Amino acid sequence: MAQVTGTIMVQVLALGDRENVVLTVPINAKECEGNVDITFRLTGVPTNQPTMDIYYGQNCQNSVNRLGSGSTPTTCTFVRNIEIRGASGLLEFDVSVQELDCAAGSTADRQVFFLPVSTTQGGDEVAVFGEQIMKIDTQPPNPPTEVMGGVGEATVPVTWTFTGTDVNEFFVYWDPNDTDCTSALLVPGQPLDSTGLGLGRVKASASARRTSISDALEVGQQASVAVVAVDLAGNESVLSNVDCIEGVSTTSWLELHRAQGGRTGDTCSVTPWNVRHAATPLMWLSVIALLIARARRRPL
Amino acid sequence: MRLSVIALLISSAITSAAAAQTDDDYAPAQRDFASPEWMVLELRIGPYTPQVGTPSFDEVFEDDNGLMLALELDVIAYRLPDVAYLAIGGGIGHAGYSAGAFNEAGGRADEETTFKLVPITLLAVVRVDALARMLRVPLILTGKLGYRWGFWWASTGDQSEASGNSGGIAWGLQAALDLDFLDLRAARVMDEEWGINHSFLFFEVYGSRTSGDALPIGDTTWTAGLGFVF
Repeated sequence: MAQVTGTIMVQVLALGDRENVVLTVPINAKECEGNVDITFRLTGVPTNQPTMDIYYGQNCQNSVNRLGSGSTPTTCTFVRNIEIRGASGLLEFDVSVQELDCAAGSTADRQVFFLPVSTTQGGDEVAVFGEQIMKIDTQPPNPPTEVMGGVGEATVPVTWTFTGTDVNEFFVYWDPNDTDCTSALLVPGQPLDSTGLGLGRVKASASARRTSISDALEVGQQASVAVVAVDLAGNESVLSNVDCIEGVSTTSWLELHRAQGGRTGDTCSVTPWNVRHAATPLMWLSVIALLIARARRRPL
Repeated sequence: MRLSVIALLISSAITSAAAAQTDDDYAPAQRDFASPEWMVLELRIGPYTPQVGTPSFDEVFEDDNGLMLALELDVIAYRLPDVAYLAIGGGIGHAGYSAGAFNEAGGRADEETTFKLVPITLLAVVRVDALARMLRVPLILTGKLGYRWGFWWASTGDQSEASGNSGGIAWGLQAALDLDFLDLRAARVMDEEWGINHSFLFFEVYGSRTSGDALPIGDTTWTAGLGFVF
């Protein structure tokens, strides 16, 4: 996952004299999951404020006026302290979203607060402008390899391999208008803009290396199939190698059984739809019975 | 501690059964502690191949024996002390079969044809433990008779093809090795800690027959497993 400087979000903030509420920057769940770095650039920072503290948290605006209250923000978590460099009033630094406790499991939005630790300035307020420069992932993952299409009637399997970890999901594309596996729409190694092409698509999870295409082909039809990998930031890989899927007539066990004159009727006219889950209440009944028996054991 | 007791019971059952039966001290003293006995739980595993009445099942699924996993819970209705239990039992199991469907040439396609089976059983159970309790022979014999509903699903690829249910008479004959005799102290600990009066390893021959025009899914086969009286 490459981290490349991409989108720039600009926020204007005001740093008033003895007013220490400085900047809030939402860090959303997507950024947490993507493990991106975020660069903050503050201009106009008063040079007579030697350091600033970084906090993150949620809804702690009312507790960050540290100078006024004389205490640290109670609902914000301290990240680290940074020094203000030079006399230009320009401050630029990176904050990893991991510093904002993304690893703690919560994917709720975070807010980052910047607070001057102290100030001796008096008089007029000063204005500080902040830019949030997201270092986002703009590099696509590697394409899947060894894509192999199968044959089938109701469903056709497709398998592939993938090395690496920069993937969030896979998309399997096939050309339903292809009849002999010579689609010009699917070109190996080329990026795919599937919009308006009329391609069929099936999504598979990041851990999947196999999926099935259902009701896609007529018997005798051959169609091109390829797979792309998509990373967390939404970057799509180029197309994998292109293989063929083929619609063929198959005979299932039940069809064979019927063809051989086998019976397939029901004993009851109604099939409980949830019979598969009957094990669950039976299991709980067992546990409850065991606990009752244990509770009624005699004392030693 | 509890896990170790269970592990001890299982391992000792496998390794020490023969030795225990020849031990002069084999017959322990009558236990002076026993919690109430309410139920019997059996954890069952064994092969299962439904006899569907045509060669199709063997032709498609070949040697797939399903591996039926099941559990049975018997509620003890009457206890004749040190002689037998009369119980009403219910059981549920699961077996699945999968293979490539046949193509037109008679070979296998990539597309899978599958068959899943969930039998639910209601049984009258007679469990005779007089040999174990009175004669110190660690053998428990059980007979079962009841009705089994087999719910089944057939599918090709990812698509459901058909489903249904098949009912019929079910029976079972079971021989069990009473594990209490292998380690009486552990057995007592299990009773005191968990309320498990007895535990046993069993082997059972059982079967069922489907009645009417329903898809025949019965089989005469065997299962083995671990049981607890609590």
